[in-house]
Amino acid sequence: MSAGVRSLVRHGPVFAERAFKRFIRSPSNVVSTAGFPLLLLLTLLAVFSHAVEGVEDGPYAQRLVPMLVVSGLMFGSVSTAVGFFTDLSQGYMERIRTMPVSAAGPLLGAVLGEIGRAAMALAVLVAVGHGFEFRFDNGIGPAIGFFLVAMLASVSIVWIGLAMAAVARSQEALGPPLGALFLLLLFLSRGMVPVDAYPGWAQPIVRFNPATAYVTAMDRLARGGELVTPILGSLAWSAGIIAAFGWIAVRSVRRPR
Amino acid sequence: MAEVSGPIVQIEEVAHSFGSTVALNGVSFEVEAGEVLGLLGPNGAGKTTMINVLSTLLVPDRGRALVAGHDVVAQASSVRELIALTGQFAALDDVLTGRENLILFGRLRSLSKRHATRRAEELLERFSLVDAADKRVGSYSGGMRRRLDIAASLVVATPVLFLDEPTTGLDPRSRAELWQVVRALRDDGLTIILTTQYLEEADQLSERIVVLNHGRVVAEGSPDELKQLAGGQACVVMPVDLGQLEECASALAPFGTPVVDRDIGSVTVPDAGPGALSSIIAHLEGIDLTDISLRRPTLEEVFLQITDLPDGP
Amino acid sequence: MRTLAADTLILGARSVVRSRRNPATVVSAFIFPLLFFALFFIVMRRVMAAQGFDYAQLLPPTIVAQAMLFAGMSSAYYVAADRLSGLTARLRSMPMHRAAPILGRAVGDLVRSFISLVPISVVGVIVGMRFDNALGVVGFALVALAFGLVASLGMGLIGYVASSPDDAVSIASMPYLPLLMLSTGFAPVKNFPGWLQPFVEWQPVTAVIDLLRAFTGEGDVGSTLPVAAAWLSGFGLLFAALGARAFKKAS
Repeated sequence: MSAGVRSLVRHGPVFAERAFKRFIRSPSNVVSTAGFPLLLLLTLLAVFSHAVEGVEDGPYAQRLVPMLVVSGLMFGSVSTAVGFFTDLSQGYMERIRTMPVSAAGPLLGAVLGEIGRAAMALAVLVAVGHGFEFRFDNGIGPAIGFFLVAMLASVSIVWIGLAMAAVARSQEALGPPLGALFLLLLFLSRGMVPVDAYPGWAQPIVRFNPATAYVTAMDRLARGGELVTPILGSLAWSAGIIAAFGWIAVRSVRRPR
Repeated sequence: MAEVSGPIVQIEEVAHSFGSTVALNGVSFEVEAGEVLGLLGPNGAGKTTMINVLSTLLVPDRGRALVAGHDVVAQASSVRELIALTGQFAALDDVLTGRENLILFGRLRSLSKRHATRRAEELLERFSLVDAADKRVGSYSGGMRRRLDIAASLVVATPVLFLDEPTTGLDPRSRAELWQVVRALRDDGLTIILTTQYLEEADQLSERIVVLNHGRVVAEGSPDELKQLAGGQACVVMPVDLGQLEECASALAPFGTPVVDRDIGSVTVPDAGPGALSSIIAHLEGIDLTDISLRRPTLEEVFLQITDLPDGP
Repeated sequence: MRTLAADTLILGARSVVRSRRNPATVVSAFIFPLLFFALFFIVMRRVMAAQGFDYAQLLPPTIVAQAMLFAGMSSAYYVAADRLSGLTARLRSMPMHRAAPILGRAVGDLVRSFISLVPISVVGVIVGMRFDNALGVVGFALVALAFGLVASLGMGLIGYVASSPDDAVSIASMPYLPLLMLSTGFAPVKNFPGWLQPFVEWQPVTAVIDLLRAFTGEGDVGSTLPVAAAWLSGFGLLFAALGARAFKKAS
């Protein structure tokens, strides 16, 4: 196994470079990571800022920017999942398996590539959000923490899609269910409205949701508030997601022995 | 350990089943270093399963296979240093350019970036892909993809190359180009195992052919030896007057079972036996002929005959 | 005329069968609209109630309008698929009334719209939407279907220029989000930024949603009908004319 680890260290950057090239060359990737969240930011602000600012203090953008960063990571990762499905079904993984290279390399590359996605989503949404009074009120350290939590979310969330790609029978059985799952996670998070604006039965679901953990951590890092719970929560969710979905995804690339 | 000479690939009694489907049922054969071996058989004969075993993708239920003395199961990682596979799908990244794909696989074979770039350049040159080098592979034609796919298997010289149905789905011109590529690789001294459903292709490219059917080796030998398997020589007779085809056929009946082809205007006796020509001419007294000839049966005729049998010899 | 009617029905039936066999259509006709319905209802109901905007009564017409826009996206998909497979060219070369393929498609679009209209309306009634009388039900259905047809005709145009069916859907989804969100569907006009309010107030999707609501007793049919009718007939005629022209040139 140490040969596999050595290969991962040596070839990981090569796979990451491939993932990054795929990312920047796919217009639909850019749209789902930055374009669509941006459009959502603008429309949600126009439609709901008046109403939400009626029930809580502070500009609505302060709440929306973290949630839309997470939405860009989620919906963007669907195309990484579809790409991995293609790798598995069209012979690319087969070639990798016959080479003296760790077969987990393409997975590692895909995950590292997600950091690029996080950077893009953050740059666009933070910049535009600034025009709608989104601010880092909490100083430079927490602002850096904000970016780190987004990176953590990006390298965790992607495993959900990679695992689903490993078990999906067709591309149609992968993209739409994954999109629907992410839609549910986002809407049932505290990203759009405060938790107590949800009906009572939905509040436990909203609290027990990885999107809520990441969004809360980012929100508090930006505007202040108790940090230990959401940051520990984000770390716990990431560890859980990577362990469970990572296991499924890695199993799919393993060689027969 | 690796032997100095002798077979570079050895397959002994390899068997594998997928559920209740028997894909390989005790296959044994050997491949000499520098040889091009054609693995020929109809769909479902077990060709791809055999290639998957040899390329470490599949652990067989029984039997063993060695590449340069290394067991493909127990010493899979050593085997991977020695082989390259070009599978049925073009295993490339559509979003990357041709050049980038070659550099990617070079670096995964642990070449330095500079070295991989130089090697990519050479391969693009060699496979006539220079003009398309910086276009995305997604825009390539089928023939270009296959050439690039093979080039990606050659970024580092491995002694053994597996080509799984390399020309399936290609137009005749791309196929001819690919044949040139394979011949050139053979001239470089590579050992190549190629699978194909096309008899003509096995005949053209390989020095030796192993015919698989229902997971068994049903015939083995050079193309010429296989043609001999179907028996001796065929006699083809073409009368001037097509109305006399039936008359020719009944005259030839004593020599075998005549086959009448009205489109070509010929009567063929598949296995006329040696020395039959003069007595055939005597039997055709009174019929004007445009042509009479003896020829070897085509590989196609042999193939149909062998794979028709329910089980191997 | 007999052949026109017969050919239209044959092609319409084919269009319906085809949608029914495509799981993606089922998802976009039922599951997505209902999912959006559920999510907006759960997430925004309390916040909007504080604004005096009751989602139980006001949101179902919005989701119906959204489902009609989804039906339009399906139409963009099918127009592109038929064009790229060569079926459109074959139909044009066959001895049938020239209008039959276009009308046949409209029949298919209407059936698709109707099929997604029914469950959404039922769910709407379950959460609290009420009709005043039978006339309201009929008016509601007719307006929804008319909007579904116009959306299909309009988004179908994209199918004539897109390079693949999936591209057609992506392009068609661009106008969808701003048109639906920047309407009175989710919030009243006064909640929008001042500079946006004229657009929100007068754009066609607002007109349709307001008229649908009027049939449920929220608002006045007499004052909303003229605006919606003008938008629907204007765009309907324009899209139909452009569609007929594109069909004649399609190859």
